[in-house]
Amino acid sequence: MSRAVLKSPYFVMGVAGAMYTIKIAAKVPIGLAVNSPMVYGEGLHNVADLIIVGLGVLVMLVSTVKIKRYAHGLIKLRNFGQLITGSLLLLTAFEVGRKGLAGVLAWWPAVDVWVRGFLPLPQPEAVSVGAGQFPLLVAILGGSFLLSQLVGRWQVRVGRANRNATVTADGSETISDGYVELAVLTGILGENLLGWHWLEHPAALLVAVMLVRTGTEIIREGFDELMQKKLAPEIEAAIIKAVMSVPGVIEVADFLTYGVGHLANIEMKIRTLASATAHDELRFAIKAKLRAVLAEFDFTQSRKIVDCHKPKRRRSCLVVAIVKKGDVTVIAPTLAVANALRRVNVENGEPQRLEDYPVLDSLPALTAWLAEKRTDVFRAGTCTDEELAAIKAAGAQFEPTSSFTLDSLDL
Amino acid sequence: MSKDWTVAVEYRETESGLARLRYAADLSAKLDGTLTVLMPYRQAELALAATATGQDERTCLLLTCESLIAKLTALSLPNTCRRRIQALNLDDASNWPEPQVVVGPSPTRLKAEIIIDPAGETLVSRVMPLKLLVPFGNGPSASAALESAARLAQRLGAEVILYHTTWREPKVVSTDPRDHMCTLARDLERKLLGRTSAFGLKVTSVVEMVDDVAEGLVRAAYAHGCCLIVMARSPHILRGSQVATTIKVSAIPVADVTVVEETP
Repeated sequence: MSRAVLKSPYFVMGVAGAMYTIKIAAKVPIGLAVNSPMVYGEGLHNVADLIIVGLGVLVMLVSTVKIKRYAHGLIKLRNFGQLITGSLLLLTAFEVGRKGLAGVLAWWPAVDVWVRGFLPLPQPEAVSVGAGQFPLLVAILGGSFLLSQLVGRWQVRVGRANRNATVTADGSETISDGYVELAVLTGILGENLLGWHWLEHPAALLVAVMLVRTGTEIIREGFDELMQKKLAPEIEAAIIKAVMSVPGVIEVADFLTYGVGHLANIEMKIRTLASATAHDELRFAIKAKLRAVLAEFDFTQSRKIVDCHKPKRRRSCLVVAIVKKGDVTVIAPTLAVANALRRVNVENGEPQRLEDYPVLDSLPALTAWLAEKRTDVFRAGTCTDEELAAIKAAGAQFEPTSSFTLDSLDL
Repeated sequence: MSKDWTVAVEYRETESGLARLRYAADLSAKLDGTLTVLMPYRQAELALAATATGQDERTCLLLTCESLIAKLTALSLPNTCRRRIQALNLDDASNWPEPQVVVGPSPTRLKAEIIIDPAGETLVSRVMPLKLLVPFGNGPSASAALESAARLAQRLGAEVILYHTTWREPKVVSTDPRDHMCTLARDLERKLLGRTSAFGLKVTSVVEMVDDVAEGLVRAAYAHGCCLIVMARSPHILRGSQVATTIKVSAIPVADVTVVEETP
């Protein structure tokens, strides 16, 4: 068998599927034969694992199929499968848990009667492992544990090498399932070597808890993806940090993310001072950064929508006290020596339109005029306390200038 | 050229002016040089301002400079940046400084080896390490750009990325852009690589085939994480200079290196 085949995600998932099929075929019949809910419950857990493997292969196959009618193709079929599988696991957990609970409650008859008043429980059945069945049971469970470790680690290695999140995640799940199998094996050994037959029922409850845990995780994952849950906060933070490191970006606004399996969707609006002619290159740079960040989090595909916008328009009105003499104009050191007022429309911090007006003959008139012109800032070299009060009364603030040249204000 | 770097910037109290000032301060701090803040004025303006304040012109100028110092202190510029204020009489160019770098839109009043348009940036670089992109064609202006870039890079501890775009040579089958370079460009690349290495700098050469030169080099600058694009404006080109085009499409600061034409 060639190395390329051994490293193929499809091949390794196929091997995982075959492994689960063998486990189911071995555990469920033997578990039923020895009346062990712990064992056949574990076998039913493997049914869910087999379905998950099948869904994973389905996702890998359909993720490349483009269907015009559906924006993400058929990739979300996996999420429906997850909801169904998770639900089946919860039903299995209920069945296994009922039998385990019945066995445990048999030790407290009074409590048993009370619980049966509202919860239908079966009659507890004793585990009966025949002399010939015990080695078979140990071989099945022990072999199952070893297979889980070997195949799981192989899946993780192949998944990482191919940057395939589905295979990697399934490998991790396979490895952790092995520890449940180890617990079940421990229970069987305890029952049959040490005579601890009471171990069966608490162990069955433990298996039921594991089934509930796995089922709810699968349902939650499927539901989150269907509802387009946002990417994890640390991923979003990494994205923002990467985008802000791009020269030209002032702010990230209207930021939206969600994941569909290993596909990440990002929509963002960025604010920039760069002219429209530079927006294409800015978008190119941002998307390259996003690709790099998403690859670190194992997103092998992504859709990125980046809009470039100017900063939010900020308009204000500036009035500068000036001294004019012939062709020469300077900023007035004080209001008293000014012989004109220059009103400036400012947009995003840059002066736009200028108009000159005569000075007012009193401070109240100045206040009224500044208020009428909706002045935000008044500038001169300095001002007296009375002038400051008059300026503030108009709703404006005073800012002293450092230089006497209008050039220093770009006026 | 003097080993002491001087970075000059005209004082402006607008948002863009203060952004340029912050960039210039950061650059001079990183160069371990001196920041010269220029206060341009005309003689007639000074005379009028002095009359308005009832002071003599010298006092008026001194008080203005003091006011400017207070303003700069309030701006919290880098502590490692040495600063000085220079009043610039626009009517008398005899005492104008000749800094190595001027920060502002090109062209500027002062003669400087390098003019940097910071494109709204207030820091030399948002990421480390610092990298400078030096495009080259097959003309001599790239050598001038490289000399300045290499000195800057050496002082900043930056890396240099040499960048070249080439046309596709129809007779060449290879898809490697280097195989499509003309002989002049290859020779220039060798020369530039050698010169950069002589400065002890880490240098990479990138060759691409792109449709638009300016867009290609800006994308390359982004792709390699460059904080500055260093180009020289050839004095022979009357219109359509790649420097001007690059400044239009780049949100990364562009350094415009002055090429001094040798007189025969």
